[in-house]
Amino acid sequence: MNAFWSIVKNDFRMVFPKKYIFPLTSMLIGGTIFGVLCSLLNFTQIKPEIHWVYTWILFALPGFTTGIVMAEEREKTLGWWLSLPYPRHWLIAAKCIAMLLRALQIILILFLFTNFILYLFTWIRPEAYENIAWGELFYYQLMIIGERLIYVPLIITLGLLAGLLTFSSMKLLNIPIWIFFGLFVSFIVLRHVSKVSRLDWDIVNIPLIWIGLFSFLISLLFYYWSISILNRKLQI
Amino acid sequence: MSIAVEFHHVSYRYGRKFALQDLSLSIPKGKATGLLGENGAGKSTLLKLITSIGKPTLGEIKVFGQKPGWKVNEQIAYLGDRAQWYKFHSIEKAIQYAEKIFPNFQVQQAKEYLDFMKLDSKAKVGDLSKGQMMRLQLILCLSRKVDLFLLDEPLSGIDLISREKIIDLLIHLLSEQEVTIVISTHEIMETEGLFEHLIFLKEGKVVKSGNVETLRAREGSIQHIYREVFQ
Amino acid sequence: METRVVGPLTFTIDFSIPLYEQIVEQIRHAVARGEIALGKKLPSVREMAQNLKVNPSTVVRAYLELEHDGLCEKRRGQGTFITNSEEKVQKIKRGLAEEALNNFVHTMKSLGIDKNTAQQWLKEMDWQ
Repeated sequence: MNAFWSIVKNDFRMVFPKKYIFPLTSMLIGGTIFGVLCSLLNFTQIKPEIHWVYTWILFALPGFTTGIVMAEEREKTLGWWLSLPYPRHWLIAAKCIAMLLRALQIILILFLFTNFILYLFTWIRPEAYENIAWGELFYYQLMIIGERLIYVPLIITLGLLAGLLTFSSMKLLNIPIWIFFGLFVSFIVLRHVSKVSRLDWDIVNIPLIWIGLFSFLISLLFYYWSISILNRKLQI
Repeated sequence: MSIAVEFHHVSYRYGRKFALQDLSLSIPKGKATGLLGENGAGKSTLLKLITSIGKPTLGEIKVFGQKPGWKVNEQIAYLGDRAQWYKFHSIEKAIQYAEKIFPNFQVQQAKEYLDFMKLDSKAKVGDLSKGQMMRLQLILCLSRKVDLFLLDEPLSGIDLISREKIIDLLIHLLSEQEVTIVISTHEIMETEGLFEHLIFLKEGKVVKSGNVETLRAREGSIQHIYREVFQ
Repeated sequence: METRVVGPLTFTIDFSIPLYEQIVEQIRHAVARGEIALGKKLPSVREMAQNLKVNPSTVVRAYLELEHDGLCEKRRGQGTFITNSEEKVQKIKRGLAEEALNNFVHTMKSLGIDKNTAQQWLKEMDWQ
């Protein structure tokens, strides 16, 4: 088990190589400061939608996950990785867990950051958020994060599968996989929009539990599919 | 002669092309075997099938009597073709990581090898030259206590000093313990004296194999045989 | 062909002939010529292998063959030593000399020179 967590830790570091962390963080901070300044100085009437702080992760996550699979190729360590004396599902699970931990880490950082800024807003310019109390916004964000987390397993395993497919004889299957991804995130966004705007589209009526169940089952499918690619379909 | 690895009529298809074609061979236990052939002869594929990175399209492979798979990999240290190590590690960190992920990794030995190979444990893997990178990987590979070493082209495309050091380390290892080691190469100049058993691979087939000294007595130097086979 | 020095011994390795045979041959000559003294320790297997760039098992095989001849003896935990027996060295010398003589006779014969003429010419040879 010790070996497993060591692999997870190594995979975790591979999600973002250190050299990307600084530019990404500075972009985040710079962008936010700019946005906050614009808002405070009343340059713009656009009210930033809080949910996007967390929703964008769903779009970026499969890219990151495909990235940690491709990283083994970039680092030219595929031979080392694939000849490890552990069951194939360890290799897959390690990458999934590493990605999940990274995602949680990003969400936590964003959560703290956003709340700090929202707190400032509710204090300096409460009308920007229609005088809603900070505590309520805080609760609203927890709801959003909770809902987004339900989709995370599906999206991570999808990214992983897409990465592994590029090493296999079935590269073309990546096209339907990414189309499915496009449909899935559009669905999530539409569901959010229709709920917020009270459009009463039918998709809102699909209970979250069903979506969660669907997401869970599909992620299991992707997970076992990934293992079977490692076992039988690699062509490197 | 006991046998470490056996191939029975193995074929492996890569897309439409056959990388190995109805190939049968055995690799002797406790000997240094040279796997010789031009680029694209199927050397890398053969080694990958032993470590179960690929599954044969047809035929059967036995590694120490078992089917290839992650369990058998515990007994195999494999260095892939054009492989490198994680560039965000330092050499020190690489050895720590190797100790964690490889069962029976001998840290003390790895540290001795570091001195032998003149590598600085503080150096970053990303900053190493090609030759130094290969030296590091040889250390990580050879410090594992396993029954079978598979080295895919450990000498190609690196500087002379590194090549000499790698050969010295291999001879060092061979004089310490009885090991089964398979080295694929198309550069035979430096390795002439190293091998005890040879397998010549051409277009996915074994075209010649046998004990090196017997081949020498019968047909001359390996270089000579190599030219005969591949011209 | 490359010349390689290991301790007191010098080897010229030709990769087109079995390597262990060459090691055996060249150590025999070295002893017969007195390049390595009686009772002296031979370089260790590892040292030989490292310097000749050959597989240690090749050296082991050569040493075994020399032991078999009685030219060397293995002492447990100490290594392989050249024999102390002058008699065995003489035997080796004799063997090598016979080999050279055989070659000589063979060459003379092929040149159509009879035994008496050859012996006469040998007597007239300058041994210096």
